[in-house]
Amino acid sequence: MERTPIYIVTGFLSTGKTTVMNYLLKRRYGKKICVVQMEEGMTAPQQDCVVTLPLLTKDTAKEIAYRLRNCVTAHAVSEVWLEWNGMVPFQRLEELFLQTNLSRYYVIKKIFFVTTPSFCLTMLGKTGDAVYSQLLNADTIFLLDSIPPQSAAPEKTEEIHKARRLLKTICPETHSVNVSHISLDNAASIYKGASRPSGILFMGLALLMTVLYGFFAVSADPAYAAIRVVLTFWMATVLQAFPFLLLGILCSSALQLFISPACIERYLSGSLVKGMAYALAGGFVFPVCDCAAIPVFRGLIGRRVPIPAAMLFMLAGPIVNPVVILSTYYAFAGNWEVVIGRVVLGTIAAIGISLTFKNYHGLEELTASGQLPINLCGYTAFPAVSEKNVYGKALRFLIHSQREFFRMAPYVLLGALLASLFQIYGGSILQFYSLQSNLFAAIELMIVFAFFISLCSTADAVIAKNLSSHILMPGIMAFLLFGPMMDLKNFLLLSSLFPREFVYRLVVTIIIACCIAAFIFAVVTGSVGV
Amino acid sequence: MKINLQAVWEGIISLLTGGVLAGLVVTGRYLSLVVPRMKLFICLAAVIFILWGIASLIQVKRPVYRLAYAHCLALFIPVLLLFSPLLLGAAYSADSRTASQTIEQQNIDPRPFGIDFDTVKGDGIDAAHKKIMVTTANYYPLILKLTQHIKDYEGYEVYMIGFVSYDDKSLTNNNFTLARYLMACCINDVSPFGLICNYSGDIHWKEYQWLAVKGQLGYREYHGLIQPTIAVKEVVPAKRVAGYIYPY
Repeated sequence: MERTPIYIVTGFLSTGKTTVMNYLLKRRYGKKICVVQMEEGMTAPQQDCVVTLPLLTKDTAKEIAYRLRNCVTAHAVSEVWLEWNGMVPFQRLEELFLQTNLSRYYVIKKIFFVTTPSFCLTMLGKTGDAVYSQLLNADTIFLLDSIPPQSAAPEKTEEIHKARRLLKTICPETHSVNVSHISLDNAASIYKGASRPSGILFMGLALLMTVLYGFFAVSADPAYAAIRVVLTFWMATVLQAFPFLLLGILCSSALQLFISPACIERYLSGSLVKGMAYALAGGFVFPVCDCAAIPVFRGLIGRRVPIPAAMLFMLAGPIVNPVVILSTYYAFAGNWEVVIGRVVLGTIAAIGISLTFKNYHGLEELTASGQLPINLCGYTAFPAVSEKNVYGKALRFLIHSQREFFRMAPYVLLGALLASLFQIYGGSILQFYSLQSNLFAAIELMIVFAFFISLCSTADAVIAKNLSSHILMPGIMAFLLFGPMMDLKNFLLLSSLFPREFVYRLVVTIIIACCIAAFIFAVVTGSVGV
Repeated sequence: MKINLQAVWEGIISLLTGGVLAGLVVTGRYLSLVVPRMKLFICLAAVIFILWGIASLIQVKRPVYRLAYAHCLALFIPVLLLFSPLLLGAAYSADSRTASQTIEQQNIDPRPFGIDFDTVKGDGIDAAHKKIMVTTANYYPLILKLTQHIKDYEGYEVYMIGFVSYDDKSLTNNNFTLARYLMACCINDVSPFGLICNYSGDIHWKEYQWLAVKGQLGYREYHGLIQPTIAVKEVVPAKRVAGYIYPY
């Protein structure tokens, strides 16, 4: 039996799902379409065949499956458009259409997510994981910037830009469209089914890598000697960095899953000194990675925690936590000068940076908009296991930490490769440009490197150690301080959550603070250079 | 019943990674890449990867809408990289450079100067006979001790095995450093470390050739630093000693 294509429109309540669906169905000529609604809103569907279903629960699941089957068998429709309930997680949708015998009747053609700019900017974090899971699984996001078919330039363009930036940050690979820009005359791509990876590309790449690696590893040709050394250095760096990355991720996942943001916020509110003291202690006790710290910071600002206390938690946490201290200690073979330098200078720099924002009022508008999900930087869809028993909790913890690892590992792999290449070829490049003994150049170079390489702070010490044979130690210290506080991925995340002026000011302040800290390190350790 | 292919790949690749890490620890081949103190952390990582693999495979019967495989490369690359030392052993290491210069092993006396270096106990200093025997077990702390207290041991007879290194550019004529590779952190920072040999013989030994040296302990001052030296009395080819010296 040929399966019936089904388009699913998701999004939170009253964000324009039916409006957009009606508009998209206007040019669906020659199709017998049935609209299935799982929630009723202000706007009614404009199709002849409309089926209304109850909210999906354990009790209604069988009835819903029966009626959805009936749509195909009794109505003989050629296409079904389903308006999914904004309060039901995407995992229930997957269970319904992929894990029951409905999969024999339907093929999911495309998932749309409809939202408004104001919802993105003010409600996205407050409405729970259900809507968030829908957003992350969508093939296309429709940003309802005007009521279709109005094509005039929408108002509040700044708000729309901000919303688009936020969506791009959360789902970088998902195509998003402003509804005012949709042209139904040329809308074939909207209705075209989403392309699905088959895994062939992955297997092909894996095979290619294996062949190339095997060739270089086994070949005795002296011409490839440098490549073999790079590969060896790469594998050693990875072998050393991964265990610490894992430790950091396990701690970060435990924090995100088992400790509520409200708990952290309770301690940081109140007087500035108390808040900053707790922020510093919290940074030490709860090892969050730098990108997990940003949503926490956004949440704290939303709960009216003083900016310096919230910022100190964000900046100091990724530097002073035990995993980072341990990885730095091991990477630098027990060199306490580097370990203490990193912790002390990092703490002082973070306090200094935070205090410069004491009288800053540019975030006041955000205090009204509340908090974002703590796991903004890596939402994880969990299987339907109970959170209450140990098995369910353990499985959620393992899946969450695994997802976090898959998200961060590419950065560490790339960083390790670049560091290995730098070790082989960096010396001669630095010598060519006379940078090897230039203190200023070393600090600036390493700050730029730290920004673009976007390493996790639990794994950066190993990379830094490998660079230390070519770069003056103050440069290495600048790398170890700047990277956890600011890098490319943090910059993009901050830009989507905070006003541009605030982000630029923060970046410049961090650069200045890290340069000063690196110079202090140079003076204290006597490595001022030539 | 459809299966979740992504979970299958994630499970397989996670289990593979855990297996490779465990294999490196069991065979001891991780020592060609990192220092022994990493053993506990690598074991921990292996356990976590295996648990992740099991967690992924539990989800195999839960098909999902959005499938992605590219992220699995983030684990495939380490598996590929780390499988090599498992497969090729210690030959795939910086230490292999010294192997290439080892002369025919069967003609070499395994007990140069009548000393079995493997059975030397303690710190290698025999104060009663004014003898010093530098072995793999005492290599780093002994050289450190000699450097710090050179005046106490000046004139002692030194016995040592190592390879010839000309890394120290201050050495002239046929002088060389009798060295072993020292690994402080991982293979990336491996460097020759040993005692300078003042050799008055006519032979210019090939770099990386393994030698056993007998001589008298002395020292030189170089840019304000005191460095122990050996005034070489006798040199014989020696069997290669595999592995690195780990200072910590």
